[in-house]
Amino acid sequence: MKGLIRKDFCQWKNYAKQYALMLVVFFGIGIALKSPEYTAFMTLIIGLSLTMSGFSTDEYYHWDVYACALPVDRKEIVAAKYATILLLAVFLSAVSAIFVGISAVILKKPVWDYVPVAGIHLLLLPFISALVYPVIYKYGIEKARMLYILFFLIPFLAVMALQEIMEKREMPKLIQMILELPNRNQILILGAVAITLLALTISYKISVKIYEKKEF
Amino acid sequence: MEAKIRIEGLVKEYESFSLKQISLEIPKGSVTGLVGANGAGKTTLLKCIMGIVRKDQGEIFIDEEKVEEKNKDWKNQVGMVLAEANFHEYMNAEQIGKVMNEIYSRWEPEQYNNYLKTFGIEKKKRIKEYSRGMKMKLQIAVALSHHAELLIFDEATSGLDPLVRDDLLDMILEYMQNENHTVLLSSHIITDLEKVSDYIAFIQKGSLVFMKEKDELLYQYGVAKCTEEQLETLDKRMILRVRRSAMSCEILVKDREAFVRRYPDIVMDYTGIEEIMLLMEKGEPV
Repeated sequence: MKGLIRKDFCQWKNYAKQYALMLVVFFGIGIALKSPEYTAFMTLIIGLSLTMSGFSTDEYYHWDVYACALPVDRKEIVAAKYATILLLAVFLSAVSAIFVGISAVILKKPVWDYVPVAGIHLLLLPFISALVYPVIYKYGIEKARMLYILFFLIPFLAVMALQEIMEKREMPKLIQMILELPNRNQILILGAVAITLLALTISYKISVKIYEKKEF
Repeated sequence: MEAKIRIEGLVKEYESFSLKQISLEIPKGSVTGLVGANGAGKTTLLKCIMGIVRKDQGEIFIDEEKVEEKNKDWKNQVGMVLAEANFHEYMNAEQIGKVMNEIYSRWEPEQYNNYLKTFGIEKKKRIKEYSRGMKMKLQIAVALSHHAELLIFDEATSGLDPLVRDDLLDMILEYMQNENHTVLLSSHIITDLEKVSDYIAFIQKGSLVFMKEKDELLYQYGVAKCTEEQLETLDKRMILRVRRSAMSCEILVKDREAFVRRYPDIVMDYTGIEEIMLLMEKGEPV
């Protein structure tokens, strides 16, 4: 499995300069918009773009044909993709945290209010991937591409809807209760982590079932 | 002779094509050429052996063990070169070596680097910048760098210039110095197969027509030319195929000596595998 993970990172490494340049541009835009968290969100888009390109190039070069002739079983081939997304999420969180921190310092905003935003990669990138990967395995990257965009929008629309509810309407009692708890942040984070892990587990099992039946 | 690969009653069905009850044995220590027209089923057969596609019926044995019962590690002993699949072109040979080092249990980095040097492949040059021949050589370098006992080439020489093809075939001959090594080579470039193969398996429309020693094909088969009237007088049991043209008939026989003894007046030529294949494909049975 290590070799398969390395393959994806080697491939991405070849685009490193381009993405680094993009990050610098987003960083500049974030400063101009006086929004330290802007870079974090754009780094998330980079992460999604990298995972899509990984599958896309695999399809283009018929990598799966070759991979099935290697001494790795199909479960490992799928597991490598999931492990890669987790590693990528950790990496991008670290990168994003640095950029967000520097932005906050430049904009004279409290650094530790913004740096945790970089943690969205740890959750959102794997979560969105968990939703999309089985579709990619079943129907291919081209058909799944639109889903990436859709699943990227859903969390933000959900947050906006929640804000709307909080501002204008009466909140459901359960949500009110959670928000009034003294350690609500930890609960919310733990809840988000648990949901992401559950999504990844279910997604992996579905993807393995699909991939084991696939022919190339 | 011990079989490296034994296939019994293999069936693989697609909508418009199927492999039909293929049974054959690839002897250990031999080079077997798999020939057939495009779409005959050569690649499908190789993919069934490697588990890239699933067979519908039949059994495949590697070293007399069913493939399904083998641990995935058996593929450590197989080097595969595929014309249709390639490494990501934004990677380079060095990165490929590092990837394979973590995949194959008996990867030999020194051997790999030596092959890269021999083939003139620059380690840090992107595969995107390679010629077709160099991409194939890179796959071959990978296939030869992990103590593979079985090499499978699927149309590996297609699209390569004669010099590169000749290099590849020399490599196969050198690889075969070790009697534990086996090669299964699918190609429709018959001259390549004539150069290196010990056995030829001919597949036509999903069926195995024959699997014979190359020398038997070259020295026992023959092509005779005769008129339609002469054809009527011949023993049809001696004839495999006949191809009629405006002026004459070409007939493929599998025992040229016996045919010449019986019909000394009919012109008989030695034949090559390409001609045998053409007559098997385009000729009619009698």
